[in-house]
Amino acid sequence: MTATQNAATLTDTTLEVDNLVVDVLTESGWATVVDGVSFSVRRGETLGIVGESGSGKSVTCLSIAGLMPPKQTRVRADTLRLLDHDLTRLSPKEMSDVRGPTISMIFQEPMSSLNPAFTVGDQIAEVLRRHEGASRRESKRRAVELLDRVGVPSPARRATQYPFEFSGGMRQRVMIAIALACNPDVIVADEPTTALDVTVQAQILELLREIQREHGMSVIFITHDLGVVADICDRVLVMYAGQIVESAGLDELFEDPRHPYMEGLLAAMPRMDNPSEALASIPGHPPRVGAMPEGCRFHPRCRYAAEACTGGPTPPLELVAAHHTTRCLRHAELTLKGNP
Amino acid sequence: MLKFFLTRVATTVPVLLLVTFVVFGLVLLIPGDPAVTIAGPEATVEQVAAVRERLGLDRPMVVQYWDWITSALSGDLGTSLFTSRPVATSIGDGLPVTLALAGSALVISLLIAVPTAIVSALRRGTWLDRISSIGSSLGIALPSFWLGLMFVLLFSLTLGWLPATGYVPIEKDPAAWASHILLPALTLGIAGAAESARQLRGSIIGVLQQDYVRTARAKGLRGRVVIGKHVMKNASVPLVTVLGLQITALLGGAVLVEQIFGVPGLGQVALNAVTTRDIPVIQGIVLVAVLVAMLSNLLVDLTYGYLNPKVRPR
Repeated sequence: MTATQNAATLTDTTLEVDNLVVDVLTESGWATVVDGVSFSVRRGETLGIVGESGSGKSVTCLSIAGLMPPKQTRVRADTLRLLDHDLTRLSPKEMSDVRGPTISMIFQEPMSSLNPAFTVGDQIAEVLRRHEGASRRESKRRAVELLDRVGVPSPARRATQYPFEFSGGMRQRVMIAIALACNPDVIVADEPTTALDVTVQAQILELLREIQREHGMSVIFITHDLGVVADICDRVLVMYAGQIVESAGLDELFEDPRHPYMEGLLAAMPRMDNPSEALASIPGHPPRVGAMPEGCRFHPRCRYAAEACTGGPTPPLELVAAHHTTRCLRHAELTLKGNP
Repeated sequence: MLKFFLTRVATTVPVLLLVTFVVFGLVLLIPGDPAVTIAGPEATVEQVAAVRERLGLDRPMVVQYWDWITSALSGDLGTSLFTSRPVATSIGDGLPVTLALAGSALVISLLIAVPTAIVSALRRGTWLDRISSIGSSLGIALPSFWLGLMFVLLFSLTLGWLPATGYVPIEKDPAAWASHILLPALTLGIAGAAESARQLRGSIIGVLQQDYVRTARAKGLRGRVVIGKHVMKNASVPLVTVLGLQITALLGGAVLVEQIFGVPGLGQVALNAVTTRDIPVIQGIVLVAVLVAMLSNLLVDLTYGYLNPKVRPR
């Protein structure tokens, strides 16, 4: 790749999502769990999606990849574009051609995300056989190479072993090798380090960073850990109750949050420089699916909530600076505390 | 895998020894004196004693056991008290027929159970699923003798497609063998099919919710690979357990089905032996049945080792 091409592709949008709405079937009928989410990811960029459990961050990404159970899910979007694929128009079969070579995923639970009944090498090799038509021998050889690439020691021997013979961190490396196998344009990492020890967590983050530098793919990093976000992301979406409530570049978001929810998350983050300071927590719980509050969805938990916040339609996402949006009605009046 | 195989085989030896004690002892516990039965109701005490001496029934138990077990090991299971045929010959004639019947029944039951289970697990809650679950309940509930008679009525007497009774050895005429074995095997296999289908449906539904199935989909694997490879290998473990239990049940069920369809298998021999208290024959048949059961258990364990790598010793 030449330097000019490189510069051009760096600004390329790999994934574009506009007004994504996802309904899931619950015991009391259809409920909207992702409500009008729009964003785009550029080549080489790491986009963080942050939020509490149930905020819709995983559902957003699983829906884009067509991995939600079809009978219990309705996915609509004005635009769902992955490179030149219009994902809203692809059949399930065409979608399976896209998963692997164009978009791939790393999941949270390395313990249960690998099939216990097949060797690790086979689970990597089958991706290559499926998408690149590699022969059994060729795919096996490349599986060993991939294991080597993700830092699994003695890869040739390890390839013949089963997942239960691997530690959590090593399994997550295997998952990364699987995701990396067909050199995808977008990798979605859904809380890939949450289940790991802190030291292992740091190693896995470093590996992801390295791989991204090498291959220049887009990474969507889903997490509830702001420390991890600060470590790896270029730009961040903050989700609350199925909606994006704030989005900004990493530094701007941390220094100058414009939504009270983000301020609360930052205040709840442990700080290395002042460990004696008591950790603040956001009072209350996120609303239940199907029982969304009127007005701003965060208002029952917001210490800045005013009369206007408690009724009417959900406030729109407003642009407050270049590449910085917030869904707070009072963003102009409030001065929120960051965590630079 | 070889080490696993050898250790597993070695552990069957003490079990087998124990079984021979039980088989030998069991017959002694059965009420009724074979010497009295053979000598007839009119026999005098002296005549009964003579018969007992001729048969060696008056010797100490340990000696009788030793005699029995050493000749059994050399393939001599004694002679029938009534037909005077060697027991090994009677079993040798009947066993292949019964094994063919039980084996065909197993194959037929899997041919029914596996597709049914996959379809109803994937189409859970639809009318297809409901029909197959009603079918399974019926298959388990309906007695095989009734089913067998219905099959004969329908396929033999009304439609005339298949013979109602009899048996042709496979080496003589494979086509005739197949047409003769089909109805009895179906009759014998249908209860097992229903049970397996129900078990497999449940475990497929469980496995479908596993994270690794989502991973398989996330890799872009085709639906049939996700189901046929990633789901089935894991979902088969409980099925294999059920099959292991079914193999022994099939041997028992074969006795009845052989009667209905006039198949000259081990069941016929067993039934005659039990009604006449033909002890050597009973012992021989029980021993063979236990051997078959143990072999099938061995097979089940080896299959576990294949399906679940954690079971294999390292």
